[in-house]
Amino acid sequence: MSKGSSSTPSGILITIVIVFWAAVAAVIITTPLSLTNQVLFGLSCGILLFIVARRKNHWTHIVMLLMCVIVSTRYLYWRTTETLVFDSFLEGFLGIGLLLAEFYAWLILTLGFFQTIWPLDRRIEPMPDDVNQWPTVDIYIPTYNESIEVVKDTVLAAQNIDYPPEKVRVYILDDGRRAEFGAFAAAAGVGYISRDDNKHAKAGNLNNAIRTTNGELICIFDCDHVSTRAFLQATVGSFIKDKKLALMQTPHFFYSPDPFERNLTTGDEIPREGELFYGPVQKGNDFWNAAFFCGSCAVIRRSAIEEIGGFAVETVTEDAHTALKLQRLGWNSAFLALPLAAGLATERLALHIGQRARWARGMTQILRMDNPLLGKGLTFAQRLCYLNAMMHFLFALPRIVFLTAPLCYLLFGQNIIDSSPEMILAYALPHLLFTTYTNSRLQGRFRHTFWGEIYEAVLSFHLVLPTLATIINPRKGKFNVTEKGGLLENGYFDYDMVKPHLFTLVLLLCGFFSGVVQLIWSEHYNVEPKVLLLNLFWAGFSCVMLFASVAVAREMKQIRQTVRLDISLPVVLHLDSGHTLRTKSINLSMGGALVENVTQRYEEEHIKDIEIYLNSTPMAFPVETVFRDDETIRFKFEELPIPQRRELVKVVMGRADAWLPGSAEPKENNVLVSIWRVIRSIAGLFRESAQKKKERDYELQNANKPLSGWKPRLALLVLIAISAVIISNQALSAPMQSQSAAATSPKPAKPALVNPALTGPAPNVRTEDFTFEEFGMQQDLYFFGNNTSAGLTFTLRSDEFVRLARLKLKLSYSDALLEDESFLDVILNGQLLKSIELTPFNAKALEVELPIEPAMILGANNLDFRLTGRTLQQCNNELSKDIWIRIDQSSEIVLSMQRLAVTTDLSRFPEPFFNPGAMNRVTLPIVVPSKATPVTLTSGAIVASYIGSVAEYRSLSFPVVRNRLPPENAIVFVMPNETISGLSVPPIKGPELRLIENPVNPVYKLLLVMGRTPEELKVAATHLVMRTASLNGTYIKAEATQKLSREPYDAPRWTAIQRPVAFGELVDESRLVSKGLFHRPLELSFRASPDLFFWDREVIPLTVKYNFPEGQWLNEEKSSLDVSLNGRYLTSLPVNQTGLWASFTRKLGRDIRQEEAQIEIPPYLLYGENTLQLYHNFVVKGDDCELNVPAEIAARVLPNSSLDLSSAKNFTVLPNLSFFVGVGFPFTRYADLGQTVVLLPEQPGNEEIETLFELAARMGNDTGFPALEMEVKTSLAMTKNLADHDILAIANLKDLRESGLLDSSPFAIHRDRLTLKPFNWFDRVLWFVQGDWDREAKSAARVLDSTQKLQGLFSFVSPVDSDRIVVLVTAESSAQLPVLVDSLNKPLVSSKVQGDMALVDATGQVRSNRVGEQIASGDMPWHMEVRWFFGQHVIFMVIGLALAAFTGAAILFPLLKHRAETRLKTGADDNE
Amino acid sequence: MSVICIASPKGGVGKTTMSANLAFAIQRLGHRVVAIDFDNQNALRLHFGMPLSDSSGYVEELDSSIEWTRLAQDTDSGVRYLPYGRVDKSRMAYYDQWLRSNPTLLAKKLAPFLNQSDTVIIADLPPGPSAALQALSLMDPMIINVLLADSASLSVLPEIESGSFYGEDAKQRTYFLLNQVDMRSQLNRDITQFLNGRLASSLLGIVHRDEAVPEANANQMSVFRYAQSSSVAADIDSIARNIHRLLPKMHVSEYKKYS
Repeated sequence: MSKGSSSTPSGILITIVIVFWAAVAAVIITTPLSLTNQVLFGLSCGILLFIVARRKNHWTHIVMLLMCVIVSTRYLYWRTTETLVFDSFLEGFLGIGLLLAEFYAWLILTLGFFQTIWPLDRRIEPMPDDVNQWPTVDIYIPTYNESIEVVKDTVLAAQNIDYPPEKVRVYILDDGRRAEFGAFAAAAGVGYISRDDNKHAKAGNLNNAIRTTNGELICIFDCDHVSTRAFLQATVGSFIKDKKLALMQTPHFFYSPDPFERNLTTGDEIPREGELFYGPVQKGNDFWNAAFFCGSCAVIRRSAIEEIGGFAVETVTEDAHTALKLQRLGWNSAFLALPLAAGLATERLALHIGQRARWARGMTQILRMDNPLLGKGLTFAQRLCYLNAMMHFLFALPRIVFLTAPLCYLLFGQNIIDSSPEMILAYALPHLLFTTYTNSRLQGRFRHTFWGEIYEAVLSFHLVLPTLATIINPRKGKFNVTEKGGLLENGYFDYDMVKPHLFTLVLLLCGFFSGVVQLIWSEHYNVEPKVLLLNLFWAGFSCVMLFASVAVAREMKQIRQTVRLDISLPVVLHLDSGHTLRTKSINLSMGGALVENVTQRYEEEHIKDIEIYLNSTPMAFPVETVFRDDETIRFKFEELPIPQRRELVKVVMGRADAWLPGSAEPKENNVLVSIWRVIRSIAGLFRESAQKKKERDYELQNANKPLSGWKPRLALLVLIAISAVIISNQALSAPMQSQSAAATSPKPAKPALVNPALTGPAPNVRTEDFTFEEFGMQQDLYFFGNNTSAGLTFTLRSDEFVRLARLKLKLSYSDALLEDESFLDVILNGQLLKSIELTPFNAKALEVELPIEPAMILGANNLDFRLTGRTLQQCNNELSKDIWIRIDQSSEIVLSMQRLAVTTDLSRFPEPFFNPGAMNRVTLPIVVPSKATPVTLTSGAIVASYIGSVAEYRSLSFPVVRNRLPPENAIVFVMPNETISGLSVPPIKGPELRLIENPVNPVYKLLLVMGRTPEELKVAATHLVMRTASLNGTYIKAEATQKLSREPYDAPRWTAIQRPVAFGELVDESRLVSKGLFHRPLELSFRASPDLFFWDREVIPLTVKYNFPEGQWLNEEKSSLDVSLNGRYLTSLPVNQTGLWASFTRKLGRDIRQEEAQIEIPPYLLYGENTLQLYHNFVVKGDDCELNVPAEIAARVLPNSSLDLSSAKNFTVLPNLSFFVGVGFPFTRYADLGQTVVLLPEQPGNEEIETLFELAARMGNDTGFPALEMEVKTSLAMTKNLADHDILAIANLKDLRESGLLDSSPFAIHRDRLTLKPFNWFDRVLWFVQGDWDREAKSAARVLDSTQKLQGLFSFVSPVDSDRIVVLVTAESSAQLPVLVDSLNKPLVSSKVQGDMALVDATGQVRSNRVGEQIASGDMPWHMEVRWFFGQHVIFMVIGLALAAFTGAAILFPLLKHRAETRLKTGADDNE
Repeated sequence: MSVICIASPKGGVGKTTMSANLAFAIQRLGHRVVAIDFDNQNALRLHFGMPLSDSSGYVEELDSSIEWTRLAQDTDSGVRYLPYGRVDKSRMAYYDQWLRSNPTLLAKKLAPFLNQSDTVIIADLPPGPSAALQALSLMDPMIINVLLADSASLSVLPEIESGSFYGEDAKQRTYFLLNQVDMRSQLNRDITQFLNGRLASSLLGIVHRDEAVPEANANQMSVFRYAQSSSVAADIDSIARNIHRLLPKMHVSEYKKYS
């Protein structure tokens, strides 16, 4: 409707607003939210809805409607984009089917909102005073096979219509060619038209009549539609005013109860089925000039109908199709919402269904043959209105889908919505709330909640075939006539009509009970109780709908032939004696009357006639008294001659106000009451005589409306609150669990032992105790069964040999083991060390110390344990749980090792400085010149980072030494004029590398990195780390290496995210085999950039291909491949396929081994550094002594299994210290630390430099690449040239205070203490409005105030570049710095470092907080970034929703209002 | 205009019955009502329970100085009535002569009644033209023609409407009521319908034919007492209300209003 106005200023404004509106709506619809945020969003929107709904006017209705469309579209978008992952074809088929059904529902909802956005309240157009202007009217009453009794009154009522007699003619159009109709027509004085054939049914009948008569207007009444006298004067005026008006439709009002009203206990409490259509729907159609013809109670312009060649005959719904054809030619239509005629409703359910099936077929025919979207002549709005009218009748299949969808899960185990039940609820509940509430508000008075569903459920099974068949072949199907006016003497249950309902109901009940059973024993059935509950609830709802439908089939007997109307009119009774009595009527019908009995005086007198006053004109009718008591007298009218019957029709049904809503209370909708009514309707089904109790129930309900008081509302509120709490709990607990898992799963490493190498008893000899834990055994070694074994591996430095070795075992074992027959064999590298006898006496704790022959110990060693155990003399179950042993992880190997002199050859580099055989901590002293320039330090950092990159899991320390030589292997940075005591430096000619024996102790070596300038030093260092393979001899003249350009995120250690990564790339194939019953889990470690961004509901697909050994011994049901990530259990993959279908085909002998499975990893389980564990959990069948477990069991995970991170984007929020601690992020974004500057104090002490090296080594370890491009500055000043760099600062508090480093950070130094800058309430309000809700400023301030000897990490946005961050490593004294960095090696510490402030105290306690500003960092497309922003700031989503709805309504309301006024004023549609 | 003449060109249409019952009905609406019998049949009194043997009436007292107000009889219902009295022919002729000779005399005689502001005089006139009618006409009375739904009634209609019967100036004050209607009779219905259309608002109402009317008369009761629930009672009441609306707004005594 804004068409053509876009060039005006207001048009531009409107266009801008529309674009803005669409943008906001698009953001709200497409922004993915985490469960927590979605719950928040849903709740906020719900609150918003209820606030808006407090005002009840048209404007707020538009607001509600717009919000509802957005929320529902959001739901559908989510369903379409996020929930369609299917494991099988069947699941996919069903899932897509459900989605299509939901799409249909959404379409109808949206079209419906469009259609009824402004129900036009049309008034009667007054007739001109000059009667000559009144057009002539032909009144058609088509009939085919109806009884004359039905038709008679219609004809007489038509004659009664107030209109100049010379201008109106009534015709009976008898397609039944019945003589009695002709006779009646003659007697009544109306025209009678019949024809020879019945071609084209009703449309043909009408077309035949058009040719015979000549009225300017044609008024059509179905033969049971008795009109009031005002009919023509109320409708014809519009035709005089609007020359283009072709059709005026009025409502079909039914004075007899329809099957719902009659058969349901609560049928009379709800609005009738037709009220919605003949209320908001047709009024809304009228607003868009798309009100359509409904076959009866309408006036049509002859010239218009002749223009389209008569009534449409192509379809079985000639009425709607005729209207469509008229409107295509530009004719207008109108709808007057006054019931001006009344007819009989279909009495029987079967008839009702038959009628609707015809409509459905006809509408589908039009949709196929004359689609309103296509073809000429219609406005866009008209197309949509007609489309909705036709699409509406396709509801059958979607309705059946909705009813039966839960069966997929309950009976067949098919999960057709791929999402967690919490997520489904979080998305679906707001959608359901909005649609239900908005519909209830917009049309609740015309249709109560859930009744639309019931009406559809009743019809759907019968409509599905006709509609589908018509879609395929629209030309099939004939017109069937709806039979009316029948009488039912005995009630019965129409079993035939509800057979499909009953069948489905039985299925649903089966599903329901099977679901309940599965729920009770959910562990046994391996089902998710929450999914089950959701499906159970759904199935329950479907059952309720179907029960209600079935209840309609309980046909109540219908005694009264004519309908009594409660009309109070003055009445005079004529007695035989000539006396008269004046009284008034209580009710009237065409058959008789009930009047008040005013006197007992003439009790004996016979009453002959009754005279009824209508508009003070009395009419007398002969009567027979049927019944008489003190209060009332009931009469039956005797057979009436036509004139009198005509009068009676006038009295009973002809009054203009006959069908206007009386003073009776409007049937207001209330969701709770509506549910209660549905339930009562169902209860009626099971009652012996519902009809009898109907009245009593009604009274009871009036006396005590069960759900309308404050109590049930309170109860509902509590219920909602509880569910909200449960859902939000679930939502919150998900990430929490992962955090706690991360915190607890890696066992705390044993504090590193002090290296005794320098203080050992013999020179170059050291003795060290290695616990099994240090060898990587993360828990006690536990295994069971006879002849089973387990073991561990350990390595030694290659430049050391073992002089003495001892094994200290700490054991505990089953006390059921038989003495003399139970042993533990300790085997080292295949050789039996000892058989330890296991006696029950020591079962609780046994410590065994074994000497080991040093010669048996190699570089890499396997230590195996084999258990031989018996519990019974005779038949022993080999895998009896009674045979078990536990080897404590604190068991030790004590080694005394002698360091060997190795050859002085650079080709061994990084040996001897770093030896891969080292089991734990590696210490490598670095000697730096006394005057360390920044570039010197950079060179040191490059070497340190290289050592870090090869060190793998070992922790490193780089004690910094100046001016002297440490008595061990060391790297020395040498510059000219530098004196290092004990070292004579040859003259330096350029960048050089030289390997010499350590003059302090020749067993050790010194690597001299030399250069005349710091730059040359760096060249030498770079040569050392980049050309490691080419090194040899003792002297190298270093050459400058060409700088390699590197891409972000290309660290060699980081898993590629562009493509799926095969397991074979991460780990050697040989490590993907599980050998033996007892084996260690297969482990795959991988690093990924920590800023991987997934939409919260996105999952990371992990495809696992695996196999299990074949064999009778394997319990295929219970064995599984257990998968966990970072210590968090993910799932167990079965040996065989599961599900009913699989077990069925297995019976048929099919191989159902499962060899591939897809696991979805929630992204929040992923860290920078990850370990994927796969454990083949073999369960052996039976408990006999003969298990026949083969000696060699092997099961594999195939190397072409893969992990797919390709949906990830590199995007995150910084600062985040956990990223820094995890993988050195954001510095490691470039593997060569290309955009990193390290700031040190002007005079860095040894500790600061050591800290720098250790951090460099950490990052080298994280990336697998040396920090070639890292820049070191010995100044803490923030200068402009630090832009485009992330900054790592290392300084103690004293140095910090003197620098300006903290000036723009949230931190400050105040009296030698690090504190938080003060903040006030204004800041807090600002944070809140910005959606920055998780700042912990207050608690952070408390933490800082209470800390003694502060040491920790701080991070904040760079003051010189707001896209970059600063990470500050600081402590009160410099000596604490290396300790701080060292403590980060402990998983227990590093896992707790989060936020932008982390204090790590000496005992390893971490306190993390988030206090400062955050920035988004990364490279997402702008539209994703917008959505991400909204996703983080739910409040903006809600505000956006409100804004979109309010601006939308602000724009639409005046436009719509103007249109409505224009429509009413001119009748025309000039706006189009 | 507080004088209401119940008149008819024809006899036997139920004037007296209507006069009496309307008197009751109007009195029930809060007016002081005096019913005066101008018909020498002296039948009105019978409706008010006056014994048959009582022959007193105002005609005898024409020449005496007794005020008519003192001659008026009270009834239980509150309606007062002035009977004609049983007199011989000469007296009747004298009365006619008296009325004709000086038409203003009647007004003088009636003045004391009308001095009480809310008094309504209901004059039961003899059929056809009469001296009483002429005398009363000077007082601009409301004239209510009682008709029957038969052809005879229809035949007199043009005479009334032309003004030749009550006089040209009485047209505005001439009203009708249709008595003894039986809607079951086609003729009655048609005439009723015809008169409805013809007379429009000057038709004050219709009265059903009802055996209760003669029975009430025989029992010397008003139909309101005798057959409260009869249609006749409702009909007359409805006519009375129409009259009430047409009467000049009078001060209706508080006492009567609530009695």
